[in-house]
Amino acid sequence: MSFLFKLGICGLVLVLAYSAYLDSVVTQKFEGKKWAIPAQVYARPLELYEGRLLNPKELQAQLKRQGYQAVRTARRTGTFSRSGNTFVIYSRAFHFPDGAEMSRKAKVVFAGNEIVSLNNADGSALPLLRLDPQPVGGIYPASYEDRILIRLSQAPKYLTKALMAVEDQRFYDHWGISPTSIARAFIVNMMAGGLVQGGSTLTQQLVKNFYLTNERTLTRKINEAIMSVLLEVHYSKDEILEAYLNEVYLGQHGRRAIHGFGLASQFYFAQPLKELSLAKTALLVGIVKGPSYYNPRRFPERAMERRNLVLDVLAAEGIVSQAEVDRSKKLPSGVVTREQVNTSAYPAYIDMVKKQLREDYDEKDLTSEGLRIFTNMDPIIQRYAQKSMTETVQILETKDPALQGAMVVTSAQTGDLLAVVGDKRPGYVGFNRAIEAQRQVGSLLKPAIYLTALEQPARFTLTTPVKDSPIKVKDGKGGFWEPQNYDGKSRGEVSLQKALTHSYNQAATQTGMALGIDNVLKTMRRLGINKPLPKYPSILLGAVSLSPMDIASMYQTIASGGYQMPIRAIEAVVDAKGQPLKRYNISVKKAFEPAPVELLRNAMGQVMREGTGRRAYWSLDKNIQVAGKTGTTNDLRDSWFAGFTGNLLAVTWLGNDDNSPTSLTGSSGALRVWTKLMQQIPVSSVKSLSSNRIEYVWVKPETHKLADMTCEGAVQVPYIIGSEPREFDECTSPARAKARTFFDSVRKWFE
Amino acid sequence: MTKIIISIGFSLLLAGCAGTGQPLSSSEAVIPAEEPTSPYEGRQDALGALLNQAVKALESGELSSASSWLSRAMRVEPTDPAIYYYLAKLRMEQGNVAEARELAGRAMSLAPDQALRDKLNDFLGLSG
Repeated sequence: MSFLFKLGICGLVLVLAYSAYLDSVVTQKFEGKKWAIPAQVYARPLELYEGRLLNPKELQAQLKRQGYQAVRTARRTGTFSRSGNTFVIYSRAFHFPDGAEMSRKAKVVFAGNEIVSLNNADGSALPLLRLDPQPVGGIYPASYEDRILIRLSQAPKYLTKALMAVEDQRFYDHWGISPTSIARAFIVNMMAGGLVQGGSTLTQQLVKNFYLTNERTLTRKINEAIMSVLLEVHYSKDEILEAYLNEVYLGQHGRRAIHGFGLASQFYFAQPLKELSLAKTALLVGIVKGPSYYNPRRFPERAMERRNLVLDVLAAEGIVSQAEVDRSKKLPSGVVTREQVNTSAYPAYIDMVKKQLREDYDEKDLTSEGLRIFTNMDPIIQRYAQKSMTETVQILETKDPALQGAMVVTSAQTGDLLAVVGDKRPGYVGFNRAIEAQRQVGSLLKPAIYLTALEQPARFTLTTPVKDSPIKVKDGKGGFWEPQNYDGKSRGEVSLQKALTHSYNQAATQTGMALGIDNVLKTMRRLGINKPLPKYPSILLGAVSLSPMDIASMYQTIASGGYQMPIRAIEAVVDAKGQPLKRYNISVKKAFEPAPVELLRNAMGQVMREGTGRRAYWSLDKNIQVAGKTGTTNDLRDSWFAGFTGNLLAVTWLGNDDNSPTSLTGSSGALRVWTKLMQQIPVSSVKSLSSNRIEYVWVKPETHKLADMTCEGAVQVPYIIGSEPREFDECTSPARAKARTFFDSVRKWFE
Repeated sequence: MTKIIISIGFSLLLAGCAGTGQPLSSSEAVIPAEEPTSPYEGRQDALGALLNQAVKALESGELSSASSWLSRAMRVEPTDPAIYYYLAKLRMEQGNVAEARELAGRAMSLAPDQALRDKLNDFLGLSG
């Protein structure tokens, strides 16, 4: 008797100790989930002002994406009205890192694609209207997963009622476990001879979600039951229900698990949860039982049947009228295709935000809750970038179904990262080619060779003849390397400018070898390539694997006129009190003098006018000056284009993930994606850099000689002063030649 | 020989220009060291309004606010040299001379008008 008593005491102590242990585990889990409010990520706010180029259709679409309601008369914040070219927008107040922006009622008038007038609705002057920014996701800075958290009060009317009716009718009465439910489920399952009904309460399901694995052992069941009771002791029913709404597993999207009704609503319906209809709410509630079995995209009929069952339960319980249930049952599922969902999510861009959070901020600061991350993502450009990629690949993939692509768009002058495309499928989560794909870059490195040359004006100018003849050099690996031109022909001698314009391989190799590989490599690094570059001659023709983001860094330096700058996804991070977090210092650094960079930019403009990039002007306005370079690798494995306008820089890549050949050159593939983007958004011309070291001189480029402007084939070419040709082409009139010689000598005395 | 004659001629000419220019500028030039108000006061266009705010913030020493106004201005007009000039002044206030000079250099490469060019030359001269 005393032995049994002792054993009993011992057992009790053990159970208590074990419960205490489980208690700490479960409360820790719960607190972790409950308080981990994700950092909210925002796109760049839309700024409206007179002179801004914007398609009014695009403004309307963007307002809707930001949840602005289209109304007849805008009377509340968050609404707008439109009549023809005139919008009245009642903007929302918003607290930006640089201060509060108040709510305004503004009148915006368009003429074509330009805002021609912007005023407060009362007629007073308004130079600028900054709208509240579009939220583009949430990040848990610690784990870098995303979730859309909701409060219980934000749940649609029938969600919690339906959940309880279907999953746990006695939720508000039980203590975490419900013996009657278990008994009922047991009997039902016995009768059916299989698992039909679960007896788990919502609390138990929540506890189950805290575990990563899904084993079904008795120990686990017992642990879950104890933990459920413990949770109920610590927290109110509403707190548990709220955690459940945000935690429950509702689907899978590649590597990404869809947790919580907030995210699921976006994932299945591309809509915020609070806007869901009864039918859609019922569908989500139905999925809870088995997200893969009732996957509405894979098994639409099964999911619909389940939805209607949920609706019937709601009618039977008297929660919703029979008439409304009957009407809802007739509705289609409303599930959107993956593509549609994904246009509202920007995982490729968010990847870059996470990367820069890790690199530029102190990890300690990121653990505080309620952070707000302001990014440079331009929601309109991001959408067009993805659209240009998706649509172009759709045309090209008839020949090559596995064809993939990536794109990076930045602001040409500042390095702000405006858009990232990591896959041909919009919103696809997984391999992000813009950052992760390492591909041979081909001719994209040629500008580095010619920039090295142009920095030596005494030896090289744009019209200096360079050799385009067969060359055989030691490959640095014990053999020899003999590059060929794309068309197999050698042209003997061509001007440096023409060598770049037509991307002649032999001319690039000859020039690069003459300059010395070390010097060219140095230029590549100064341009902003931080990856290791092999010191083999073949690097001159791009035999190195880099990502589209690496190429964007390099071309950013050229687009900005010689300034190396980091590509920035994050504009600012502020804490819950609105204080900006400290960021590791990043700075813009002058890497090149403007004069040689201007010459290179001029030649890259020629690439677009008459060289390998000329295809762009099939669809771009001829008056817009753009600059760029194509890249094609061996056997057409990679199709690249990197180019810029006055305001935008974009790098595009197309290829197969398994590195098999495509049938595309840089011009027939990647350039088409680039052009498609640039023709859909307002672009400005590349402006020449002004430098007192540059002068424009009339020459005949083929002969590298001075010419009269009346000479046939004469053009104005920029030269670094003092490096222009001395000799006169035979077409030049002797008098002019003499006059010029005289002025030249006068000037020389004063230098 | 011709060289020498011509160069002397030029030198005289230059000296002459300078000579006649001097009295004029000295009578007119009461140039204050700091411009008292923003040259963008009252501007109703987006760039002007943002620069006006930036200049005011800069003058009253609110550097982080000035920086925000200038970044917004840069988004509106990324190649306006005046923005880079004020950014240069901002960096100078923050004690970052090297970056200030680079920004002024960048402003110079963006085709500033004569007035701004003069300011930039002064700035580069002072910071040199």
